[in-house]
Amino acid sequence: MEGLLHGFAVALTPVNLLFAFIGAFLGTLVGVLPGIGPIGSMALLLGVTYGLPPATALIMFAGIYYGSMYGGSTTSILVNIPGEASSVVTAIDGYKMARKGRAGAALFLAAIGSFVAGTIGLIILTFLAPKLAEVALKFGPPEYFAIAVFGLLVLSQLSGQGLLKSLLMVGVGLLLSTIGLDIITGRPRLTFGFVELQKGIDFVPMAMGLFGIAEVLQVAEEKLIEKKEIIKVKLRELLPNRVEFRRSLGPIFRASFLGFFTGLIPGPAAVISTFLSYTLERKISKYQKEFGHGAPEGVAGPEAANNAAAVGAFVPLLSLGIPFAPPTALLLSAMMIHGVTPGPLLIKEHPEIFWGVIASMYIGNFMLLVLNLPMVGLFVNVLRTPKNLLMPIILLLCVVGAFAVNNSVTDIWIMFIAGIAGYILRKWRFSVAPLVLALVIGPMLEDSLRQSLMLSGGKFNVFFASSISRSLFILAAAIILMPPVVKLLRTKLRGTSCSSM
Amino acid sequence: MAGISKTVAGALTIGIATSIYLYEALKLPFGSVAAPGMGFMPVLVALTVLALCLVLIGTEWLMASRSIPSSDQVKDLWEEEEEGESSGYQRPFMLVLTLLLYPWALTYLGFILSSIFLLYASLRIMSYRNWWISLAVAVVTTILANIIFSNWLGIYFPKGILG
Repeated sequence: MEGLLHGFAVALTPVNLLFAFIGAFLGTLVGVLPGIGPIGSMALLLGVTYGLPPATALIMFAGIYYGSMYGGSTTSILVNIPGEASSVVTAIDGYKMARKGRAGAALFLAAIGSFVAGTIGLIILTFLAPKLAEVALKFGPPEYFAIAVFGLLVLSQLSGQGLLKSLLMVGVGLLLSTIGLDIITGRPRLTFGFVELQKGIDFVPMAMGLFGIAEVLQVAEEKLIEKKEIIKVKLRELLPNRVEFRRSLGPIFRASFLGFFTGLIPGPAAVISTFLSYTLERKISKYQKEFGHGAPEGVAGPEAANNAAAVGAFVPLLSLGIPFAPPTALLLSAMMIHGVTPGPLLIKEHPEIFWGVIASMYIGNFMLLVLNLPMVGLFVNVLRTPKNLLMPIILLLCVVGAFAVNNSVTDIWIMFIAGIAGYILRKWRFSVAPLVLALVIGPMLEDSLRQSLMLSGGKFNVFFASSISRSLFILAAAIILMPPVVKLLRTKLRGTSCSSM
Repeated sequence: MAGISKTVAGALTIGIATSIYLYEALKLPFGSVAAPGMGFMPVLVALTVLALCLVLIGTEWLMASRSIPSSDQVKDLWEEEEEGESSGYQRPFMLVLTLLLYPWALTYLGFILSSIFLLYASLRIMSYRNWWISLAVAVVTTILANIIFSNWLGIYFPKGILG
C-alpha cells in the first residue's frame, strides 16, 4: 500500500496529471479513428518525449493504450465501424441498441463497464505485479528463455491466421532481431555491408511501417466510400434504464476477471477477451434470443473485458520486462529510451515509475469516464474527417516519428520498406503482429539461450531443470497440441457415430 | 501468380529472402552447443524458417489437392477493420514510388520542401479535392509540423537547400 501511495504522490503532480489527460484524450481519439491505432500513435510520440521525465512519458503512453480501448466502442455503437479490433464484438449489439434509440444507454454501459473493469483489473495488478516481480528475481537465463518461447508459441497459436503462418512470422521477426551488433561479442553481424544497420533494426520504425504505412497503402487502394450515417446522442439520453443497468452488472463483473486473466496471455488478448465474454454471456443469459438484436449484456461484457485485458497486459511488462502484445512492446521501448530497464528490478530501482504508472492508471481510468460521455459528440465528429485527407497527414506524422527516434534518415527507409512489406503481407494474409513481437523479444531469447547453454556446458536439460521453465514448456506444448488433438478426436468420434448408425 | 495461392507466394518469398540471410549467417562463427558463437542463433532460426516455409507450401498444396479452403480466407485477429473494395493497385504503387523518393528528397531538399512534396503527392494520389486545395493543405500542414516538432519539441530535421 505504501508503494501505491508513493505512486499517487507521483501521478498527482500537475505535470503528470496533464500528461495522463493528454494520453487518455489521444488514446480515445485514436480509438475512435479506424486506421491509426494505439501502436501507431505511441510510436509516433516516442521520439518527441525525450525531453520528458521517464515517469511522465510512461504515464502518457499508458493513457494512450487504455484510452484507445474506450474510444473504440464509440464508433462501434454509433456508426457500426469498430475503431479497434477489440471493439468488433461491441458493434454486434451496440449498433442494434443505437438503431433502437438506445445509443446513449449503450455508450453509458460501455463506459461504465470499461471503468469498473479497468479499476478491478488495476486492483489485481496492484497486488499481483509486485508478487510476480519478487518471484521473477529468482529467474535465471533458462527461465527467461522458457518465458520467451512460451510467449512466442502461444502468441502464434492465438493470432488467428493459422499456427504455421504465425510461426513463420515469428521466425522472420527473430531473423531481423539478429541484425546488428552481437549481444555477447559486440561485433557487427548480418549487416549486408550497410554500416547504418550496425545499430540493429529498431522496433519503432518497424512497427510504424508495418501498422501505419501499410494501413495508408491499404486505404489508398480502396475505393472512396460515402460516409456512414452517424447516430446523434443527446446528453439527457445517456442513462440506461433500470432493467438495462441490472442486466449489465453481472456481465461487467464477470468480464473484469475474465478479461484481466486473458490479458496475461501472449497474443491479441484484448480481442480474444471480448469474444470470450460475449460467448459466455450469451450462454448463461436468460435473454439469449436478444443477443445480436441489441442485448445490453453484449455491450457491457465485451467492453469491460477488453479494458481489463489491457490492464492485465501490464503484468508481464512491469514484473518480467517482457511484452506480450505490440502496445506493451512500445511501452517497453519507451522505458528503454528513457534509460529504464523493465523487469523484476523495476519496482526496487524505479519505484516512482512502477507505482507512478499504476497510480496514474487509476486516475486516467476515472478521467476517461468523465471525458468520454460528455465529449462523445466531439469524438464522433472526428470520423467526418475524410480518409484521403487523414491518411497523408498520418504519413507525415509517421515520417516525423520514425526520424525522431534516432534523428536518422535510415529509420525512415526502414519504416517505408517495412510498410511496403506489411502491405504485401496483409494481401497474402500473414499477420505482422507476431513478427513485431519476435523482433522485440528476439534479443532476450538469444541472450538467454546462449547464456543457458554456456552455463550448463552445452546440456539442453538445463531448460527443464527448474519447475517454472518445465511448466511453461508443458503449457506451451499443450496449447499448441490441443487444437489438432481435439480436431482429430472429433473426426474420429464423428466417424464412429456414423459407422454405428 | 495465377495458380499459386497467396500463402504459397508469401512462403516462397520469405523462403528466398531467408536463403540469402542464411548464406550470410553461415559466414559467421557458429561455435558449439557449449559455447555458441554469433552465428548460432541466426543459422538455427534461418533453418527453422526454411523448414516452416516448406511445410507451409506442402500443406497448401495438399489442401488444394483435397479441395480444402486455403488459409488465405482466415481472419487476422489483430487487424483493425475489414478491407474496403479495391480500386486496383495503381494508387498504392504511385504512393510507394513517392515514399521511395522521400528519403532522398529529405536529405537534399530538407524537411520542409520534401514534406510538402510528400503530402501534396499523397493527397493527389488519394484524390483529395482539387490541386490547389491539396497544395494549400500540404504547405500549411508541413509548416505546422515544422513549428511543433522542430521549434517546440526540438527535433533537428535536415535543412537541405533552405538551410
